[in-house]
Amino acid sequence: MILHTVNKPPTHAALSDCLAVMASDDLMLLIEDGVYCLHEVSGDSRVHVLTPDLEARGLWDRLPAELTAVDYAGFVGLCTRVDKIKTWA
Amino acid sequence: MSDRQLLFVQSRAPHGSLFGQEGLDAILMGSAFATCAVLMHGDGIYQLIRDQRSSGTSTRDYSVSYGALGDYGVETVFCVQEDLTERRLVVDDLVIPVSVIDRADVASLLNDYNTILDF
Amino acid sequence: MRFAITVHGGPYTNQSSHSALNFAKAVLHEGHDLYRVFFYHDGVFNGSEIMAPPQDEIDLYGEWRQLALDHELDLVVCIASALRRGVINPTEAERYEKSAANLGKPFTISGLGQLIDAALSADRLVTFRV
Repeated sequence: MILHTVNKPPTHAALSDCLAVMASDDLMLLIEDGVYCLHEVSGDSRVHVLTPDLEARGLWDRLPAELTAVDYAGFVGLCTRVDKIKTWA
Repeated sequence: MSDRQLLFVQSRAPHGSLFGQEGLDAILMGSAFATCAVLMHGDGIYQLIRDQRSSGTSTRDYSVSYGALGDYGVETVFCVQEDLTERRLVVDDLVIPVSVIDRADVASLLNDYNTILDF
Repeated sequence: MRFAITVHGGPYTNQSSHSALNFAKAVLHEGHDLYRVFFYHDGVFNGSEIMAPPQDEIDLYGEWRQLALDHELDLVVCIASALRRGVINPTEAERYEKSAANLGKPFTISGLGQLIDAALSADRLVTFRV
């Protein structure tokens, strides 16, 4: 099981490249500018979003219901749940 | 746990940035200590185009160094068929032999190795 | 669990170092071991002690320095990347006959072997890229 981090907005290839490769039981975490990908993945319960990055960008009240917000402690927790981390930048 | 240890993923084109060249430095060091494989992913495949002539840009043509990976014990350099096709490349365009996999098989490759190092 | 972190981005230009710093703090706060933080590519610039950011912005070098001192962290800057970009300690400054050194303690300068060792020794490697 892999945690995929995405740090670019959806205009960049990072999100689509990641989605093309992610397995059904993998997890995704949107960080930094990756939080702008919220709506592209709104129905995907594998997706988590880093709260400080969401709040910094004024998107804190736009989190789709299926996505899970996590803080940095939660980010660490996700890393312990999976086997390894893959970054998409 | 697999005994295949490190998977290096090269995802950037050469010359426009240093990520690929410094990524290869990391691969060569890794091969001295562990079982390693390399995935040239997305734009990373551009690093392997043969006959790069960089005297005019003053950037380094390090593509030939990929030819030494076998001597360093790096078992396989993978690339993705769809990445080749989308970039109008074929294996004959590349400076080394590669192991071509389908995009659908990348997830399985990522799972085969203990740790992924992305460049 | 034992973590290792790699930082690819230089300070301030992008969020790489900010995110890595916050993640490092969380790793330690959650009771895990942080084996090494390895600075590669432009990440080596995080080790420069002569940065003078605006007073109302985070002092990234100072934050890394304090975290490392508080928790005895191993902050390693890659020597090849650093020399290329002009981040050097006194030994290298003398070797290359440069007029100054700028690598701040407790950052140390070492080879890529430290990255590979971290990747092999840690349970989880987390990279903060550009």
